Amino acid sequence: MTSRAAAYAYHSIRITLHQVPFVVFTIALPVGMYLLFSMMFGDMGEGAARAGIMVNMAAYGGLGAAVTAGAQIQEDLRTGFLRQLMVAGLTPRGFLIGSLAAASAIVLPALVAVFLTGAVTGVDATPGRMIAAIGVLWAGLLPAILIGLVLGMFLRGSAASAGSVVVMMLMAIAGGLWMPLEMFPGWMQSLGQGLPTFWMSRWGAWALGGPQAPAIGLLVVGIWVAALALTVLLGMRRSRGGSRR
Amino acid sequence: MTADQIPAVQVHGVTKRFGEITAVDDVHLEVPAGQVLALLGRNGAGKSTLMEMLLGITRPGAGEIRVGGLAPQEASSRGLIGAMLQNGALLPEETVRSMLRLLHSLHARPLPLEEVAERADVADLMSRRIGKLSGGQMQRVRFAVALLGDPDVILLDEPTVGMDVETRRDFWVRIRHVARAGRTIVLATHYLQEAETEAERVVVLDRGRIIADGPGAEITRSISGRTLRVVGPSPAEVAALPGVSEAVADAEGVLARCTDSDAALRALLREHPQARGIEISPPSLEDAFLRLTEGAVR
Repeated sequence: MTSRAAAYAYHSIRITLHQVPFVVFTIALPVGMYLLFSMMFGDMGEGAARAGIMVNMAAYGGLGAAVTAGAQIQEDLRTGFLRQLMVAGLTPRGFLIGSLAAASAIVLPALVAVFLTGAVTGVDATPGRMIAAIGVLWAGLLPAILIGLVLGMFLRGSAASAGSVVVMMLMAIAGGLWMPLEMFPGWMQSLGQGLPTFWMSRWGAWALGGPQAPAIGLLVVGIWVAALALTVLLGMRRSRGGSRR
Repeated sequence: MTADQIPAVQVHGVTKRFGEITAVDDVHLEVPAGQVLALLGRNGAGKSTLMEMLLGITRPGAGEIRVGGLAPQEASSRGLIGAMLQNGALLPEETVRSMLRLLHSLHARPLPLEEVAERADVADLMSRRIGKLSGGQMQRVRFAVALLGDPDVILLDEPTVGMDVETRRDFWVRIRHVARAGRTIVLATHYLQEAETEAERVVVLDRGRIIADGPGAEITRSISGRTLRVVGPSPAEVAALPGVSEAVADAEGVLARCTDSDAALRALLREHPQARGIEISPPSLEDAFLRLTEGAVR
Protein backbone atom coordinates (compact mmCIF):
# COMPACT_ATOMS: atom_id res chain seq x y z
CA MET A 1 0.00 0.00 0.00
CA THR A 2 1.40 3.38 -0.94
CA SER A 3 1.68 6.06 1.72
CA ARG A 4 -1.10 8.06 0.07
CA ALA A 5 -3.46 5.10 0.05
CA ALA A 6 -2.56 4.57 3.72
CA ALA A 7 -3.22 8.23 4.52
CA TYR A 8 -6.52 8.04 2.70
CA ALA A 9 -7.45 4.86 4.56
CA TYR A 10 -6.60 6.48 7.90
CA HIS A 11 -8.76 9.54 7.27
CA SER A 12 -11.62 7.44 5.88
CA ILE A 13 -11.61 5.40 9.07
CA ARG A 14 -11.46 8.55 11.18
CA ILE A 15 -14.38 10.09 9.30
CA THR A 16 -16.52 6.96 9.40
CA LEU A 17 -15.97 6.35 13.11
CA HIS A 18 -17.01 9.94 13.81
CA GLN A 19 -20.42 9.18 12.39
CA VAL A 20 -22.37 8.26 15.50
CA PRO A 21 -25.30 6.54 13.75
CA PHE A 22 -22.87 4.31 11.87
CA VAL A 23 -21.10 3.21 15.02
CA VAL A 24 -24.33 2.67 16.94
CA PHE A 25 -25.90 0.79 14.06
CA THR A 26 -22.96 -1.50 13.48
CA ILE A 27 -22.04 -2.14 17.11
CA ALA A 28 -25.10 -1.72 19.30
CA LEU A 29 -27.50 -3.61 17.06
CA PRO A 30 -25.56 -6.88 16.78
CA VAL A 31 -24.54 -6.73 20.44
CA GLY A 32 -28.18 -6.21 21.42
CA MET A 33 -29.34 -9.04 19.20
CA TYR A 34 -26.67 -11.34 20.57
CA LEU A 35 -27.84 -10.59 24.10
CA LEU A 36 -31.46 -11.22 23.13
CA PHE A 37 -30.85 -14.49 21.30
CA SER A 38 -28.38 -15.83 23.83
CA MET A 39 -30.90 -15.11 26.59
CA MET A 40 -33.57 -17.00 24.66
CA PHE A 41 -31.59 -19.87 23.19
CA GLY A 42 -28.11 -19.62 24.65
CA ASP A 43 -28.48 -22.47 27.10
CA MET A 44 -29.49 -25.00 24.45
CA GLY A 45 -26.99 -27.78 23.87
CA GLU A 46 -25.58 -27.22 27.35
CA GLY A 47 -24.53 -23.66 26.51
CA ALA A 48 -22.88 -24.56 23.19
CA ALA A 49 -25.54 -22.59 21.31
CA ARG A 50 -24.26 -19.36 22.84
CA ALA A 51 -20.98 -19.57 20.90
CA GLY A 52 -22.84 -20.10 17.64
CA ILE A 53 -25.09 -17.12 18.31
CA MET A 54 -22.04 -14.99 19.06
CA VAL A 55 -20.39 -15.94 15.78
CA ASN A 56 -23.58 -15.34 13.81
CA MET A 57 -24.37 -11.99 15.35
CA ALA A 58 -20.79 -10.80 14.94
CA ALA A 59 -21.02 -11.85 11.29
CA TYR A 60 -24.31 -9.98 11.00
CA GLY A 61 -22.84 -6.80 12.54
CA GLY A 62 -19.78 -7.00 10.35
CA LEU A 63 -21.99 -7.56 7.34
CA GLY A 64 -23.89 -4.34 7.98
CA ALA A 65 -20.68 -2.35 8.40
CA ALA A 66 -19.13 -3.92 5.32
CA VAL A 67 -22.04 -3.32 2.96
CA THR A 68 -22.47 0.25 4.19
CA ALA A 69 -18.76 0.95 3.82
CA GLY A 70 -18.76 -0.44 0.31
CA ALA A 71 -21.73 1.70 -0.68
CA GLN A 72 -19.98 4.75 0.80
CA ILE A 73 -16.98 4.18 -1.48
CA GLN A 74 -19.32 4.39 -4.46
CA GLU A 75 -20.82 7.56 -3.08
CA ASP A 76 -17.37 9.20 -3.13
CA LEU A 77 -16.88 8.01 -6.67
CA ARG A 78 -20.19 9.33 -7.82
CA THR A 79 -20.26 12.73 -6.15
CA GLY A 80 -16.95 13.52 -7.77
CA PHE A 81 -14.99 13.60 -4.53
CA LEU A 82 -12.59 11.16 -6.16
CA ARG A 83 -11.70 13.90 -8.65
CA GLN A 84 -10.74 16.12 -5.74
CA LEU A 85 -8.64 13.29 -4.30
CA MET A 86 -6.97 12.72 -7.67
CA VAL A 87 -5.98 16.38 -7.93
CA ALA A 88 -4.38 15.99 -4.52
CA GLY A 89 -2.32 13.14 -5.96
CA LEU A 90 -4.24 9.99 -5.06
CA THR A 91 -4.53 7.57 -7.99
CA PRO A 92 -7.78 5.67 -8.64
CA ARG A 93 -5.88 2.53 -7.68
CA GLY A 94 -4.73 4.14 -4.44
CA PHE A 95 -8.29 5.21 -3.79
CA LEU A 96 -9.59 1.68 -4.25
CA ILE A 97 -6.88 0.11 -2.09
CA GLY A 98 -7.24 2.75 0.62
CA SER A 99 -11.03 2.48 0.59
CA LEU A 100 -10.96 -1.30 0.87
CA ALA A 101 -8.44 -1.11 3.69
CA ALA A 102 -10.63 1.41 5.50
CA ALA A 103 -13.76 -0.68 4.95
CA SER A 104 -11.95 -3.73 6.32
CA ALA A 105 -10.90 -1.79 9.38
CA ILE A 106 -14.30 -0.37 10.22
CA VAL A 107 -15.96 -3.79 10.29
CA LEU A 108 -13.63 -4.82 13.12
CA PRO A 109 -15.30 -2.91 15.99
CA ALA A 110 -18.56 -4.76 15.40
CA LEU A 111 -16.82 -8.15 15.47
CA VAL A 112 -14.77 -7.32 18.55
CA ALA A 113 -17.74 -5.83 20.41
CA VAL A 114 -19.90 -8.92 19.95
CA PHE A 115 -17.04 -11.27 20.90
CA LEU A 116 -16.23 -9.22 24.00
CA THR A 117 -19.87 -9.33 25.02
CA GLY A 118 -19.83 -13.08 24.36
CA ALA A 119 -16.74 -13.52 26.53
CA VAL A 120 -18.33 -11.80 29.51
CA THR A 121 -21.68 -13.58 29.11
CA GLY A 122 -20.37 -17.09 29.30
CA VAL A 123 -19.21 -18.19 25.86
CA ASP A 124 -16.75 -20.94 26.59
CA ALA A 125 -13.68 -20.50 24.39
CA THR A 126 -10.02 -19.61 24.87
CA PRO A 127 -8.84 -16.12 23.86
CA GLY A 128 -6.75 -17.72 21.11
CA ARG A 129 -9.79 -19.38 19.56
CA MET A 130 -11.80 -16.20 19.91
CA ILE A 131 -9.15 -14.23 18.02
CA ALA A 132 -8.95 -16.94 15.36
CA ALA A 133 -12.73 -16.82 14.90
CA ILE A 134 -12.64 -13.02 14.57
CA GLY A 135 -9.94 -13.44 11.93
CA VAL A 136 -12.05 -15.92 9.98
CA LEU A 137 -15.12 -13.71 10.08
CA TRP A 138 -13.05 -10.71 9.11
CA ALA A 139 -11.68 -12.42 6.02
CA GLY A 140 -15.17 -13.68 5.22
CA LEU A 141 -16.49 -10.12 5.07
CA LEU A 142 -14.50 -9.18 1.96
CA PRO A 143 -17.35 -10.29 -0.35
CA ALA A 144 -19.77 -8.17 1.67
CA ILE A 145 -17.60 -5.04 1.18
CA LEU A 146 -17.48 -5.75 -2.53
CA ILE A 147 -21.26 -6.30 -2.62
CA GLY A 148 -21.66 -2.84 -1.11
CA LEU A 149 -19.38 -1.43 -3.81
CA VAL A 150 -21.31 -3.14 -6.59
CA LEU A 151 -24.68 -2.12 -5.13
CA GLY A 152 -23.50 1.47 -5.07
CA MET A 153 -22.67 1.23 -8.76
CA PHE A 154 -26.23 0.43 -9.71
CA LEU A 155 -28.24 2.26 -7.06
CA ARG A 156 -27.96 5.89 -6.04
CA GLY A 157 -28.45 7.85 -2.84
CA SER A 158 -31.33 6.63 -0.67
CA ALA A 159 -31.99 3.71 -3.03
CA ALA A 160 -28.42 2.58 -2.34
CA SER A 161 -28.90 2.63 1.43
CA ALA A 162 -32.29 0.91 1.19
CA GLY A 163 -30.82 -1.60 -1.23
CA SER A 164 -27.92 -2.36 1.06
CA VAL A 165 -30.25 -2.98 4.01
CA VAL A 166 -32.35 -5.39 1.94
CA VAL A 167 -29.34 -7.25 0.58
CA MET A 168 -27.79 -7.41 4.01
CA MET A 169 -30.97 -8.86 5.54
CA LEU A 170 -31.34 -11.39 2.73
CA MET A 171 -27.76 -12.51 3.09
CA ALA A 172 -28.10 -12.73 6.87
CA ILE A 173 -31.38 -14.68 6.85
CA ALA A 174 -30.73 -16.91 3.83
CA GLY A 175 -27.20 -17.56 5.06
CA GLY A 176 -28.61 -18.84 8.34
CA LEU A 177 -27.21 -16.15 10.62
CA TRP A 178 -30.52 -15.58 12.40
CA MET A 179 -32.06 -19.02 12.31
CA PRO A 180 -30.37 -22.33 11.60
CA LEU A 181 -30.58 -23.18 7.91
CA GLU A 182 -32.10 -26.55 8.80
CA MET A 183 -35.35 -24.79 9.72
CA PHE A 184 -35.84 -23.69 6.11
CA PRO A 185 -37.29 -25.62 3.14
CA GLY A 186 -34.81 -27.57 1.05
CA TRP A 187 -34.48 -25.08 -1.81
CA MET A 188 -33.65 -22.30 0.63
CA GLN A 189 -31.02 -24.48 2.24
CA SER A 190 -29.37 -25.00 -1.15
CA LEU A 191 -29.53 -21.26 -1.80
CA GLY A 192 -28.04 -20.53 1.60
CA GLN A 193 -25.09 -22.80 0.92
CA GLY A 194 -24.20 -20.63 -2.05
CA LEU A 195 -23.88 -17.54 0.16
CA PRO A 196 -20.65 -16.37 1.80
CA THR A 197 -22.57 -15.59 5.00
CA PHE A 198 -23.39 -19.27 5.53
CA TRP A 199 -19.76 -20.25 5.23
CA MET A 200 -18.58 -17.43 7.47
CA SER A 201 -20.79 -18.82 10.17
CA ARG A 202 -19.57 -22.39 9.61
CA TRP A 203 -15.89 -21.53 9.49
CA GLY A 204 -16.26 -19.13 12.40
CA ALA A 205 -17.80 -21.88 14.50
CA TRP A 206 -14.99 -24.20 13.45
CA ALA A 207 -12.36 -21.69 14.53
CA LEU A 208 -14.05 -21.54 17.95
CA GLY A 209 -13.59 -25.29 18.29
CA GLY A 210 -16.70 -26.54 16.50
CA PRO A 211 -16.90 -29.22 13.83
CA GLN A 212 -14.64 -29.10 10.77
CA ALA A 213 -16.34 -27.13 7.98
CA PRO A 214 -16.13 -28.46 4.43
CA ALA A 215 -13.51 -26.87 2.19
CA ILE A 216 -16.10 -26.20 -0.50
CA GLY A 217 -17.00 -23.12 1.55
CA LEU A 218 -13.67 -21.56 0.67
CA LEU A 219 -14.42 -22.13 -3.00
CA VAL A 220 -17.83 -20.47 -2.68
CA VAL A 221 -16.34 -17.42 -0.98
CA GLY A 222 -13.52 -17.33 -3.53
CA ILE A 223 -15.95 -17.34 -6.46
CA TRP A 224 -17.94 -14.51 -4.89
CA VAL A 225 -14.79 -12.44 -4.37
CA ALA A 226 -13.54 -13.04 -7.92
CA ALA A 227 -16.87 -12.25 -9.57
CA LEU A 228 -17.46 -9.14 -7.46
CA ALA A 229 -13.90 -7.85 -7.86
CA LEU A 230 -14.21 -8.20 -11.62
CA THR A 231 -17.48 -6.26 -11.61
CA VAL A 232 -15.90 -3.51 -9.50
CA LEU A 233 -12.89 -3.20 -11.80
CA LEU A 234 -15.02 -3.09 -14.95
CA GLY A 235 -17.33 -0.54 -13.35
CA MET A 236 -14.40 1.64 -12.32
CA ARG A 237 -12.88 1.51 -15.78
CA ARG A 238 -16.19 2.58 -17.25
CA SER A 239 -16.56 5.51 -14.86
CA ARG A 240 -12.93 6.58 -15.38
CA GLY A 241 -13.63 7.89 -18.88
CA GLY A 242 -16.67 9.29 -17.39
CA SER A 243 -17.16 12.89 -16.47
CA ARG A 244 -20.00 14.08 -18.59
CA ARG A 245 -18.68 17.39 -19.76
CA MET B 1 16.06 22.28 -14.07
CA THR B 2 15.21 25.84 -14.98
CA ALA B 3 11.56 25.95 -14.13
CA ASP B 4 11.16 29.44 -15.59
CA GLN B 5 11.83 28.32 -19.13
CA ILE B 6 9.48 25.36 -19.16
CA PRO B 7 5.96 26.47 -20.11
CA ALA B 8 3.58 25.92 -17.22
CA VAL B 9 1.08 24.25 -19.51
CA GLN B 10 1.53 22.69 -22.95
CA VAL B 11 -1.43 21.32 -24.84
CA HIS B 12 -0.58 19.77 -28.14
CA GLY B 13 -3.24 18.63 -30.65
CA VAL B 14 -5.55 17.43 -27.90
CA THR B 15 -8.90 15.91 -28.77
CA LYS B 16 -11.45 14.33 -26.44
CA ARG B 17 -14.69 12.69 -27.48
CA PHE B 18 -17.55 11.43 -25.33
CA GLY B 19 -19.50 9.16 -27.63
CA GLU B 20 -20.82 11.31 -30.45
CA ILE B 21 -19.80 14.57 -28.83
CA THR B 22 -16.38 16.07 -29.47
CA ALA B 23 -15.80 18.02 -26.28
CA VAL B 24 -12.29 19.19 -27.15
CA ASP B 25 -11.23 19.33 -30.78
CA ASP B 26 -7.54 19.50 -31.74
CA VAL B 27 -6.57 22.17 -29.22
CA HIS B 28 -3.08 23.65 -29.16
CA LEU B 29 -2.22 25.91 -26.24
CA GLU B 30 0.93 26.97 -24.47
CA VAL B 31 0.82 28.92 -21.23
CA PRO B 32 4.10 30.46 -20.04
CA ALA B 33 4.87 30.28 -16.35
CA GLY B 34 3.37 33.14 -14.39
CA GLN B 35 0.63 34.01 -16.86
CA VAL B 36 -2.97 34.63 -15.87
CA LEU B 37 -5.13 33.24 -18.63
CA ALA B 38 -8.90 33.31 -18.96
CA LEU B 39 -10.71 30.57 -20.79
CA LEU B 40 -14.00 31.79 -22.20
CA GLY B 41 -16.74 29.70 -23.68
CA ARG B 42 -20.39 28.85 -23.39
CA ASN B 43 -21.55 25.86 -21.41
CA GLY B 44 -20.35 22.77 -23.20
CA ALA B 45 -17.59 24.60 -25.05
CA GLY B 46 -15.03 22.22 -23.59
CA LYS B 47 -13.55 24.31 -20.77
CA SER B 48 -14.16 21.84 -17.98
CA THR B 49 -13.05 18.87 -20.07
CA LEU B 50 -9.84 20.68 -20.93
CA MET B 51 -9.24 21.44 -17.26
CA GLU B 52 -9.88 17.86 -16.24
CA MET B 53 -7.33 16.71 -18.79
CA LEU B 54 -4.80 19.19 -17.43
CA LEU B 55 -5.34 17.66 -14.01
CA GLY B 56 -4.97 14.11 -15.24
CA ILE B 57 -8.53 13.22 -14.17
CA THR B 58 -9.57 12.60 -17.77
CA ARG B 59 -7.22 11.24 -20.42
CA PRO B 60 -7.12 12.90 -23.83
CA GLY B 61 -8.30 10.76 -26.74
CA ALA B 62 -5.48 12.14 -28.87
CA GLY B 63 -2.62 14.60 -28.43
CA GLU B 64 -0.31 15.39 -25.57
CA ILE B 65 -0.49 17.49 -22.42
CA ARG B 66 2.39 18.63 -20.20
CA VAL B 67 2.16 20.49 -16.95
CA GLY B 68 5.48 21.93 -15.85
CA GLY B 69 7.02 19.58 -18.42
CA LEU B 70 5.44 16.51 -16.83
CA ALA B 71 2.50 14.28 -17.66
CA PRO B 72 -0.62 15.62 -15.86
CA GLN B 73 -0.94 12.73 -13.42
CA GLU B 74 2.71 13.05 -12.47
CA ALA B 75 2.26 16.82 -12.05
CA SER B 76 -0.75 16.25 -9.78
CA SER B 77 1.17 13.64 -7.86
CA ARG B 78 4.04 16.07 -7.25
CA GLY B 79 1.71 18.87 -6.27
CA LEU B 80 2.59 21.12 -9.21
CA ILE B 81 -1.04 21.77 -10.06
CA GLY B 82 -4.09 22.61 -7.96
CA ALA B 83 -7.67 23.33 -8.88
CA MET B 84 -10.98 24.76 -7.88
CA LEU B 85 -13.29 22.30 -9.59
CA GLN B 86 -16.74 23.49 -10.52
CA ASN B 87 -18.46 20.25 -9.68
CA GLY B 88 -15.91 18.92 -7.26
CA ALA B 89 -18.21 17.60 -4.57
CA LEU B 90 -16.88 18.06 -1.08
CA LEU B 91 -17.92 15.85 1.82
CA PRO B 92 -21.23 17.38 2.95
CA GLU B 93 -21.33 15.57 6.30
CA GLU B 94 -17.85 16.64 7.34
CA THR B 95 -16.48 19.83 8.81
CA VAL B 96 -14.25 21.99 6.65
CA ARG B 97 -11.30 21.16 8.87
CA SER B 98 -11.88 17.43 8.68
CA MET B 99 -12.02 17.43 4.88
CA LEU B 100 -9.04 19.73 4.51
CA ARG B 101 -7.05 17.46 6.85
CA LEU B 102 -7.87 14.51 4.61
CA LEU B 103 -6.77 16.28 1.43
CA HIS B 104 -3.78 17.77 3.23
CA SER B 105 -2.53 14.29 4.08
CA LEU B 106 -2.49 13.32 0.39
CA HIS B 107 -0.39 16.18 -0.91
CA ALA B 108 3.29 15.83 -1.73
CA ARG B 109 4.39 19.14 -0.20
CA PRO B 110 1.37 20.81 1.39
CA LEU B 111 1.22 24.23 2.97
CA PRO B 112 0.42 24.27 6.69
CA LEU B 113 -3.34 24.00 7.15
CA GLU B 114 -3.61 27.21 9.17
CA GLU B 115 -1.77 29.15 6.49
CA VAL B 116 -4.14 27.86 3.82
CA ALA B 117 -7.12 28.76 6.00
CA GLU B 118 -5.78 32.27 6.36
CA ARG B 119 -4.99 32.73 2.66
CA ALA B 120 -8.34 31.45 1.48
CA ASP B 121 -10.23 33.22 4.27
CA VAL B 122 -11.82 30.08 5.66
CA ALA B 123 -10.44 30.30 9.19
CA ASP B 124 -13.90 31.14 10.52
CA LEU B 125 -15.46 28.22 8.63
CA MET B 126 -13.14 25.46 9.83
CA SER B 127 -15.57 23.86 12.28
CA ARG B 128 -18.65 24.32 10.12
CA ARG B 129 -20.28 21.40 8.32
CA ILE B 130 -19.63 21.65 4.59
CA GLY B 131 -23.22 20.78 3.69
CA LYS B 132 -24.42 23.86 5.58
CA LEU B 133 -22.24 26.45 3.86
CA SER B 134 -23.58 29.05 1.47
CA GLY B 135 -22.52 29.05 -2.17
CA GLY B 136 -19.96 31.78 -1.63
CA GLN B 137 -18.50 30.10 1.47
CA MET B 138 -18.29 26.85 -0.47
CA GLN B 139 -16.24 28.60 -3.14
CA ARG B 140 -13.84 29.86 -0.47
CA VAL B 141 -13.43 26.30 0.76
CA ARG B 142 -12.78 25.16 -2.81
CA PHE B 143 -10.16 27.87 -3.10
CA ALA B 144 -8.53 26.55 0.06
CA VAL B 145 -8.55 23.08 -1.50
CA ALA B 146 -6.79 24.51 -4.56
CA LEU B 147 -4.09 26.15 -2.44
CA LEU B 148 -3.44 23.18 -0.12
CA GLY B 149 -0.71 21.62 -2.21
CA ASP B 150 1.14 24.90 -2.79
CA PRO B 151 0.86 24.44 -6.57
CA ASP B 152 2.69 26.36 -9.32
CA VAL B 153 -0.31 26.13 -11.63
CA ILE B 154 -3.83 26.82 -10.39
CA LEU B 155 -6.96 26.07 -12.38
CA LEU B 156 -10.06 28.00 -11.39
CA ASP B 157 -13.29 26.71 -12.91
CA GLU B 158 -16.00 29.35 -12.47
CA PRO B 159 -14.45 30.49 -9.18
CA THR B 160 -16.83 33.31 -8.32
CA VAL B 161 -20.11 31.55 -9.04
CA GLY B 162 -22.51 32.08 -6.16
CA MET B 163 -20.64 35.06 -4.71
CA ASP B 164 -22.17 38.45 -4.17
CA VAL B 165 -20.41 41.52 -5.58
CA GLU B 166 -18.49 42.31 -2.42
CA THR B 167 -17.34 38.76 -1.80
CA ARG B 168 -16.28 38.55 -5.41
CA ARG B 169 -14.15 41.67 -5.12
CA ASP B 170 -12.54 40.39 -1.94
CA PHE B 171 -11.96 37.01 -3.55
CA TRP B 172 -10.14 38.60 -6.48
CA VAL B 173 -7.85 40.47 -4.12
CA ARG B 174 -6.85 37.09 -2.73
CA ILE B 175 -6.37 35.48 -6.13
CA ARG B 176 -4.24 38.41 -7.29
CA HIS B 177 -2.14 37.97 -4.19
CA VAL B 178 -1.61 34.32 -5.09
CA ALA B 179 -0.85 35.21 -8.72
CA ARG B 180 1.72 37.78 -7.71
CA ALA B 181 3.88 35.03 -6.23
CA GLY B 182 4.60 33.92 -9.82
CA ARG B 183 1.96 31.25 -10.11
CA THR B 184 0.29 30.43 -13.38
CA ILE B 185 -3.47 30.78 -13.29
CA VAL B 186 -5.95 29.38 -15.77
CA LEU B 187 -9.42 30.71 -15.16
CA ALA B 188 -12.69 29.63 -16.73
CA THR B 189 -15.47 32.10 -16.25
CA HIS B 190 -18.84 33.29 -17.49
CA TYR B 191 -18.17 36.79 -16.24
CA LEU B 192 -16.53 38.49 -19.17
CA GLN B 193 -15.67 41.53 -17.18
CA GLU B 194 -13.68 39.32 -14.85
CA ALA B 195 -11.74 37.92 -17.78
CA GLU B 196 -11.14 41.38 -19.17
CA THR B 197 -9.83 42.91 -15.98
CA GLU B 198 -8.05 39.97 -14.34
CA ALA B 199 -6.45 38.05 -17.18
CA GLU B 200 -3.55 39.17 -19.36
CA ARG B 201 -4.58 36.67 -22.00
CA VAL B 202 -7.98 35.46 -23.13
CA VAL B 203 -8.61 32.22 -25.01
CA VAL B 204 -12.07 31.76 -26.48
CA LEU B 205 -13.24 28.19 -26.82
CA ASP B 206 -16.23 27.29 -28.96
CA ARG B 207 -17.46 23.76 -29.52
CA GLY B 208 -14.12 22.36 -28.48
CA ARG B 209 -11.98 24.63 -30.65
CA ILE B 210 -9.93 27.71 -29.88
CA ILE B 211 -11.42 30.52 -31.96
CA ALA B 212 -9.55 33.47 -30.47
CA ASP B 213 -6.40 33.89 -28.39
CA GLY B 214 -4.81 37.10 -27.18
CA PRO B 215 -5.11 39.96 -24.71
CA GLY B 216 -8.75 40.83 -24.05
CA ALA B 217 -8.41 44.23 -25.72
CA GLU B 218 -6.87 42.73 -28.82
CA ILE B 219 -9.59 40.14 -29.21
CA THR B 220 -12.18 42.80 -28.81
CA ARG B 221 -10.53 44.96 -31.46
CA SER B 222 -9.85 42.26 -33.99
CA ILE B 223 -13.32 40.81 -33.89
CA SER B 224 -15.82 43.54 -34.18
CA GLY B 225 -13.92 46.78 -34.80
CA ARG B 226 -15.26 49.93 -33.18
CA THR B 227 -18.68 51.34 -32.79
CA LEU B 228 -19.49 54.76 -34.23
CA ARG B 229 -22.45 56.82 -33.03
CA VAL B 230 -23.46 59.93 -34.87
CA VAL B 231 -26.45 62.29 -35.06
CA GLY B 232 -27.31 63.96 -38.35
CA PRO B 233 -26.72 61.76 -41.38
CA SER B 234 -29.12 58.95 -42.28
CA PRO B 235 -28.24 55.30 -41.69
CA ALA B 236 -27.87 54.78 -45.46
CA GLU B 237 -25.41 57.69 -45.70
CA VAL B 238 -23.34 56.34 -42.81
CA ALA B 239 -23.39 52.82 -44.25
CA ALA B 240 -21.96 54.19 -47.50
CA LEU B 241 -18.88 55.59 -45.76
CA PRO B 242 -15.55 53.77 -46.15
CA GLY B 243 -14.62 51.60 -43.17
CA VAL B 244 -18.24 51.05 -42.09
CA SER B 245 -19.59 47.53 -42.26
CA GLU B 246 -23.16 48.18 -41.19
CA ALA B 247 -25.26 51.01 -39.81
CA VAL B 248 -28.64 51.05 -38.11
CA ALA B 249 -30.91 53.75 -36.73
CA ASP B 250 -30.42 54.31 -33.02
CA ALA B 251 -32.65 56.11 -30.52
CA GLU B 252 -30.98 59.44 -31.26
CA GLY B 253 -29.08 58.94 -34.49
CA VAL B 254 -27.13 56.19 -36.20
CA LEU B 255 -25.18 53.34 -34.72
CA ALA B 256 -22.52 51.92 -37.04
CA ARG B 257 -20.07 49.04 -36.75
CA CYS B 258 -16.69 49.96 -38.24
CA THR B 259 -13.90 47.88 -39.67
CA ASP B 260 -11.75 51.03 -39.86
CA SER B 261 -13.09 53.75 -37.61
CA ASP B 262 -10.35 56.24 -38.54
CA ALA B 263 -11.24 56.15 -42.26
CA ALA B 264 -14.94 56.27 -41.44
CA LEU B 265 -14.47 59.35 -39.22
CA ARG B 266 -12.41 61.25 -41.80
CA ALA B 267 -14.99 60.59 -44.53
CA LEU B 268 -17.86 61.41 -42.18
CA LEU B 269 -16.48 64.86 -41.32
CA ARG B 270 -15.63 65.60 -44.96
CA GLU B 271 -18.93 64.53 -46.46
CA HIS B 272 -21.36 65.36 -43.66
CA PRO B 273 -20.16 68.51 -41.92
CA GLN B 274 -23.50 68.74 -40.10
CA ALA B 275 -22.75 65.54 -38.17
CA ARG B 276 -22.66 65.99 -34.39
CA GLY B 277 -22.61 64.03 -31.17
CA ILE B 278 -19.93 61.79 -32.60
CA GLU B 279 -18.82 58.97 -30.34
CA ILE B 280 -16.36 56.21 -31.14
CA SER B 281 -16.13 53.38 -28.66
CA PRO B 282 -14.38 50.06 -28.52
CA PRO B 283 -16.82 47.20 -28.17
CA SER B 284 -16.73 45.30 -24.92
CA LEU B 285 -15.27 41.85 -24.68
CA GLU B 286 -18.83 40.71 -24.22
CA ASP B 287 -19.76 42.07 -27.69
CA ALA B 288 -16.74 40.33 -29.14
CA PHE B 289 -17.51 37.08 -27.38
CA LEU B 290 -21.11 37.06 -28.51
CA ARG B 291 -20.13 37.74 -32.11
CA LEU B 292 -17.39 35.13 -32.04
CA THR B 293 -19.59 32.39 -30.71
CA GLU B 294 -22.92 33.38 -32.21
CA GLY B 295 -22.73 30.45 -34.59
CA ALA B 296 -23.30 28.28 -31.54
CA VAL B 297 -26.83 29.48 -30.87
CA ARG B 298 -28.10 28.81 -34.36
